Amino acid sequence: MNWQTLLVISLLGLSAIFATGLSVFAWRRRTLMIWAWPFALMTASLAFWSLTYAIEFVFPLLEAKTVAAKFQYIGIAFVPIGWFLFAMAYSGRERWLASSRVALLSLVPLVAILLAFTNEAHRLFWARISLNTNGPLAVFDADYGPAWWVFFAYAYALLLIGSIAIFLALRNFNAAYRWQLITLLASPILPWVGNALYIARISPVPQLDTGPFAFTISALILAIGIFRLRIFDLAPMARSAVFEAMQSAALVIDRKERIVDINSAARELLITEAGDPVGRDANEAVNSWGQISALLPDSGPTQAELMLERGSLTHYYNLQVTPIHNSRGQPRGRLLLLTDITAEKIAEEAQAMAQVRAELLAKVGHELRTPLNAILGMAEMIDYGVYGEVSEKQSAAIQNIIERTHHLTRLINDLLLQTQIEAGEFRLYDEPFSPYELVKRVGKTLRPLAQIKDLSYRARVDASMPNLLNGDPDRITQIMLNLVENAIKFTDHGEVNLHITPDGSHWSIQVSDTGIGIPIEVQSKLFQAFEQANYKITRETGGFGLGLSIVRELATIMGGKVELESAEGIGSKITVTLPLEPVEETAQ
Amino acid sequence: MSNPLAMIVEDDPTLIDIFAMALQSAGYSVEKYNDGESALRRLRQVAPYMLVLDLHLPHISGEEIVDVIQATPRLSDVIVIITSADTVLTSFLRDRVELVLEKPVSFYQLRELTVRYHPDRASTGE
Repeated sequence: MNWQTLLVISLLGLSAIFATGLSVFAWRRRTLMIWAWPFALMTASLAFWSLTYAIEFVFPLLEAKTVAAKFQYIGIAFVPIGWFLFAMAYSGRERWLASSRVALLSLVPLVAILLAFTNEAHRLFWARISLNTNGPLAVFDADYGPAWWVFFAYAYALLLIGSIAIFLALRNFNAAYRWQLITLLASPILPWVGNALYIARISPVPQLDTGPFAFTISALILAIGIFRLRIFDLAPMARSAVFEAMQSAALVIDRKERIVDINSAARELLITEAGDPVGRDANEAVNSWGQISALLPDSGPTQAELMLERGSLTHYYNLQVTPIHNSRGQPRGRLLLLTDITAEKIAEEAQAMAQVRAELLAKVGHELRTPLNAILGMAEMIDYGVYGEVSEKQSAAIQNIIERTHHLTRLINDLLLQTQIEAGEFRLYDEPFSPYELVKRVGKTLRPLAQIKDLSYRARVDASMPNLLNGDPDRITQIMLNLVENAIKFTDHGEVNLHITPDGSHWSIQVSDTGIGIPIEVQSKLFQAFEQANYKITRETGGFGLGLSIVRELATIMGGKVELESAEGIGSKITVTLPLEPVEETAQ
Repeated sequence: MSNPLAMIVEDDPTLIDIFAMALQSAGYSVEKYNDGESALRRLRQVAPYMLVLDLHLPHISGEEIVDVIQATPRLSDVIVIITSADTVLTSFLRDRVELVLEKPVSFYQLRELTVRYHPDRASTGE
């Protein structure tokens, strides 16, 4: 065995070892990446091809070399299939990995292997075989038969289709993946060239099929891709899919403001002309580019807001600019992200308006309270007898004035509270209070109102209620007042009852009446601000329709809930359930 | 025994009369001040038993008077009751004074509350 033969055997052996390593590497990652197993198949086939080719050189005689050549085809046959499946999976066409398709694809190679092994019987694969000793190497040489040419065409078709698929998938990738594109395209092209040169017999070493070397070199390039460029760590396909599917409009431009990449959201927002905008000047291709480029800094990242017209509507966008650098830190371009923030803007404006409204109403309320206080105070002083004795008729009139003033005060309080809640300026207190006291207060305020309508008003606190609770007594009183006043308002005969009971980890305020009841269809609207079930009744009874909306808002803020049971003509029952926070009574 | 002194600071002439009447009928001897400055001058001389205080006052605000009272040990026992129409401002003072009453303050309500604070009633433990 001469040194040339030894060199070829060593190189092929190395190639086999290397390809085996790559195959194991990929196989271990088969659950992480869908294309890992086809890659493993390709490199394993490559390893087998290299190994059996090396064995061919070990034996000097044609018979042994022929057997080795036959075994080589087990490897050769599956390299194109491995490559094809890898390319399909890598470019997002995973359906090619279905076992039925893999079986179909394997049909031609399996037949080729079969024909290679049975060649002596039909000579369809190799028409004539010989030992070529023209050079320093003794090699297996053959004139190819028709079956071989069919297999050859099939294998190259798979290699070609796979390469096109990868090229199409990577075409739109941004600069960061340019090297992957090159490596991935270089890897299948090299073996083509090497193998084609051998078939055409214009190989640099005429006797030697450079195919396995070329394939191993491509596997090496792929390995560089794997280790250095991390194609297995972060899949460009996944990255591309994320980029494409992003809600935000994303646009990559180079230093000369040409479009490098653009996702579909950006196409929809910024491009009106048909055709591929990639490669075009942003200035020409992108709508409102003047507006956008005015916000771009000379360098560095930035964030800005801008307004763009979409149809007849103005939308607000947050523009985020991120510079893109190459591995040496030189600027290559920038990524522009436009995120629609119209909804947030509208909410902000609504919030600001709610605040203005709340401030305005607070001022109005403030101005109304002082004269209201004078009316109330003077009326009560007359009632008290400060200005002399009061007749029964006068007293009744004064009671009416006092009652109306209280009512007016409650309306102002409701209105202020509603605007405070809307403006988010609402503050809840947490202090000890007695539920008994609150019920007393409610009775004192509203019993006269019930008496005017000749209604029976009864309030009851369950004996098992704790003496002291933590919470906001004024707001809880307001809940009770609103519920009871509402019940009195909509009840003409019978009774209104307020009942306080503990309810496990909660306690409930229940107000029932024998009033007109609430029709099912308007029950859902009942707790909305400025809504009242029956506008005719509203006109007769007055009010803004805020009472129940405030009850619901307060209950929700306090972590409670409101339930309504009502039957038209029979009456209503509203239950507010609040978290029970008893005050720990310490021995004094 | 003379009635305990209650100072009322309120710039609305009608309201100051109403509050004064309520406090008198509750058994207090009443002094009326319609601005913060004169009230503060008086506070330098005496420590009233009770101070009924509006917040929006000419020159010196009710809030500043609360500051002075809290900074003066001699006035530490004064029962401060705030009567105000400003619901936002009162919410910030709630923890610093005895009581906060939102206007309209009822004559009956003020009378009843101040009766409860009256030393005669407090000492009998009613």
